[in-house]
Amino acid sequence: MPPPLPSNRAPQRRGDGGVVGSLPDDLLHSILRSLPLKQAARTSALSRRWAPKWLHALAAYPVLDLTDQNFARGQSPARAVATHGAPLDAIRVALVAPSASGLVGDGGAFGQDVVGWVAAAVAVDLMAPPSQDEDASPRDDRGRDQQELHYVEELGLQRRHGRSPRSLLLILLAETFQRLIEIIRLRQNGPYLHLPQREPRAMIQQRDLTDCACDHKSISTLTRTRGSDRRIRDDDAAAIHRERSTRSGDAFEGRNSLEYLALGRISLRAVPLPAAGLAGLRSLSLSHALFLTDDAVEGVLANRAALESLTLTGCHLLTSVSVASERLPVSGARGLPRRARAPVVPIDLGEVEGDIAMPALRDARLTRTPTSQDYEYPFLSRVAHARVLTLCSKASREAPHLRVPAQRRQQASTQEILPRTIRPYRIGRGRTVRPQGADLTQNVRRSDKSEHLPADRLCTRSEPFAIMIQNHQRLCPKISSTPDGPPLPTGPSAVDEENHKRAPRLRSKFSMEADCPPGRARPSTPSYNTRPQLCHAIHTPSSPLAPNSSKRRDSLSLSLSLSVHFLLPQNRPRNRAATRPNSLNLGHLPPSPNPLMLDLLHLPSNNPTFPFNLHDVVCGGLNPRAELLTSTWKGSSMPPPPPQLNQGTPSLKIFAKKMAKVVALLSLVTWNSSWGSRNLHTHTLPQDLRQEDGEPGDTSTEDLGPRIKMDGWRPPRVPARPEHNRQPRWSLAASDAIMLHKHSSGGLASDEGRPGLAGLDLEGKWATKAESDGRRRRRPSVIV
Amino acid sequence: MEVDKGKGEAEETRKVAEADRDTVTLKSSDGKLFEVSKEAAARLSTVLAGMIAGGSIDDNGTDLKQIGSEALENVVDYCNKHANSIPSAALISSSISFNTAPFKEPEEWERKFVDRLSHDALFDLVEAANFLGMERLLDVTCHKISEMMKGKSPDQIREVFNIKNDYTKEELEEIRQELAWAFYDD
Repeated sequence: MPPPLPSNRAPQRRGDGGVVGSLPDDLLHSILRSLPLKQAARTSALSRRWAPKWLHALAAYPVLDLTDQNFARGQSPARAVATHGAPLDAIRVALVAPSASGLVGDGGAFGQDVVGWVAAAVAVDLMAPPSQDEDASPRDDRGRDQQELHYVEELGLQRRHGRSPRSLLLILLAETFQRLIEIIRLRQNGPYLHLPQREPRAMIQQRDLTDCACDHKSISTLTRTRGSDRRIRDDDAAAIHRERSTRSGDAFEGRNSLEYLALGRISLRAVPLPAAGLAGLRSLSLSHALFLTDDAVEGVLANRAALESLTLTGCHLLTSVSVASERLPVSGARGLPRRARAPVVPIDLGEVEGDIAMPALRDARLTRTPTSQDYEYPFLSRVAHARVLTLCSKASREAPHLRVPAQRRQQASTQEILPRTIRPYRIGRGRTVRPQGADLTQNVRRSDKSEHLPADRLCTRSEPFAIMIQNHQRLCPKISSTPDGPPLPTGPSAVDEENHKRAPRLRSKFSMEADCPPGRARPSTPSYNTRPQLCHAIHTPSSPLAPNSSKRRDSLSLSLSLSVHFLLPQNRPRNRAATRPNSLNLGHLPPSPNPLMLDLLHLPSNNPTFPFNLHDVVCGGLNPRAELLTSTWKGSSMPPPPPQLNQGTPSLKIFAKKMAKVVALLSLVTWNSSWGSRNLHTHTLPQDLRQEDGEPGDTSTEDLGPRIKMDGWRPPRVPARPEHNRQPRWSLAASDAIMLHKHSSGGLASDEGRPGLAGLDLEGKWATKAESDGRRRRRPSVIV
Repeated sequence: MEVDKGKGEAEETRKVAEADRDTVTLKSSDGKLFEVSKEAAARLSTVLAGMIAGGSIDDNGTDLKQIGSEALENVVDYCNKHANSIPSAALISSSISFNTAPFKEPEEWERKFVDRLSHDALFDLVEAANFLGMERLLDVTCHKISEMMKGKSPDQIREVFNIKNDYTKEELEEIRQELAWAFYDD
């Protein structure tokens, strides 16, 4: 039964748009988002204003799942069948919003729409296949053009006759700030989504550029990179050439670009790979891409100034790849010490997955450190400057890693380095090297023995280590050695050997490794030094509903959820020092209304070194709802914690506002209590929360640093409701205890099935308003 | 009447020693005062949390000019109810990844809470929640609205939500053709 109709004051207040229509767009998106796709699409028949909303709503959602059966049914199956034998059944677009440029907050609405546009472009293509005649006037193609028009208008571009959806897609890509757009085939063995082979017809001419509202540079970038599409029609080529000659350099400077692009299981025939908006691409991942030829890959690599990571998986048309990027190393944050901004630049050239054979390229990972100014570097010769080179192939699992120091690399012949399973690589400009029967194992051993690696080497042992972070500059999980931490292990050791053997297996899960200089983290030694490593981190926005009120530069209005997967070696390394707690630097997290989730996953059950390898958690700008969660525990039975739990001083350093600090403190409590529920018991974890960098002018923050002592806390041994007399007691002496208290009632209450912190013992100083004046009151212990 | 009660409470509380205040007083656009616990406010509303943390809470009633008294009453009501409700285990979501939708189904009391609202109150509440950055409330209310749209034809939706149809017949037909899959009844 419908609720009562609006009272009579509604029409005056709401206007003609109707009750719903008066809501701002992002709210409409929230509403539409909850609807089934079909229902949402139907709303386009409501009124003109509603027409594009459903797509935008989808776009505003981090995960766009177009798996609706009817949707698939409506996608012109005949066309799809004609190309790939089955109709489209899903496009999923995942968007990771954070922008290092900080522009998302301002251009939020636009930014959020981007994927919708991409999806729309794809969808339009499929829904209304354009006529074969590319020069058909808009009249002939009204339905499609009309639909396109919506987006074009909203983009601020003027209507361009004859622009194909594909070119629209390219515009959208070009307009995208650093984003992840991931188009994935959902069904592994499902039909491929085929993007039509038709060439993107509409070239964006110069006159088009001048009168559009978009950033001029980005469009020129688009034009220029479009120009490198080798499949472009000849008659357009001349114009492109002109474009290019007049606008050289733009592509490398334009910031409006995708940063991360992952495409899976889609045909790339119609997506010109050196596509628009990819000039700033930092990470490119193509998996099982159809029709991905060597030329295409080279095309991608040719103009990618900032490319750090390339993953090609299961692209069976590839036979050889020549990586000849001009500046493969990242153009790191300026102003940081050179060492700090020298990132790991991995190139991942595919891993064999399943039974899809990739005859040529196998699991070759190359890691280099830009230590040289010499930037003319085709693939291997460029890599020769690296201190450490890691190449592994499938066949080299018995000796998976080849590490050659730079000095030796100069002398080592390429044949030695290339595993024999890797087919001829084209190296440099046309030079082809065929590895001929080199005994890889011997080489490895020899180089292991002989090399002398500097202690500050950046990457190395290829132990299971991968960070996949899209927001490179803002969120920088990195493991760094702490000043008072153990000395970095230098040189190879037996431990390394062990890990090398395990590495391929682990790496099959995580194939991407990227790192970037943090925004404002103090880079002590950006080394990946210790054994159990932060392995995999993803952060995604969880909601488009972000406030746009924040003006701080680092206040991106986006929400993060960060999953940190720890992959640990199964056996404890013999080098105990290497297992000492690590530190996790989360960089400066943008405040957001949505909780930060720190999810620690994938703990091998037989690993005795966990959990507190994590030694230092450093993050800033935690949002008030931040939560650090350890929700998923894969291991069924955990051994008691290792003794080194007590050795380190886990600390959570937070430079943020008071609020955030307290919540983070709470989070830590929650965190620990959740460990506790997993039979982790009896440890003393003096927690030191230091507020290092408050808001400017916030003078009271310095001495507010609460200290939490978790002395003798004994969490319940079994994940069940704890008995009353055995409730864990936390002794909190926190100056912010009052806030803590407030939060604790909601945040820490134990409930069934999750024996959390059952007792919270607050003692010591309580913060009141008077405290900032230096006056403090003591209160007796309070049991919450 | 609840509004008056809220007002009365607010006045009463103001007399309590300032130092021990654990509530914040909110003032609606039409000047009515509402009292909500600081903890709930900070936990549920990012905006209020920011104000509390930033010390910009006015003891005599923080002005929320965008929010009418009815909506604010509902907001406060929600906060109170939320504080009383037992946080479900779902609060600790099991897995955060690309694939999982962050939104959790409204709980029973939340359903009841929004069900009793009139259209107008509901939309006011959505706006208020949006303004205050109360994400959960926003989710719940938006969910409610979308429930109301579910299973309805465009005509019915227009009727329920009082949306004016500014399409011509031809345009409408065009849209139906374009999105035939959506209008396909199965």
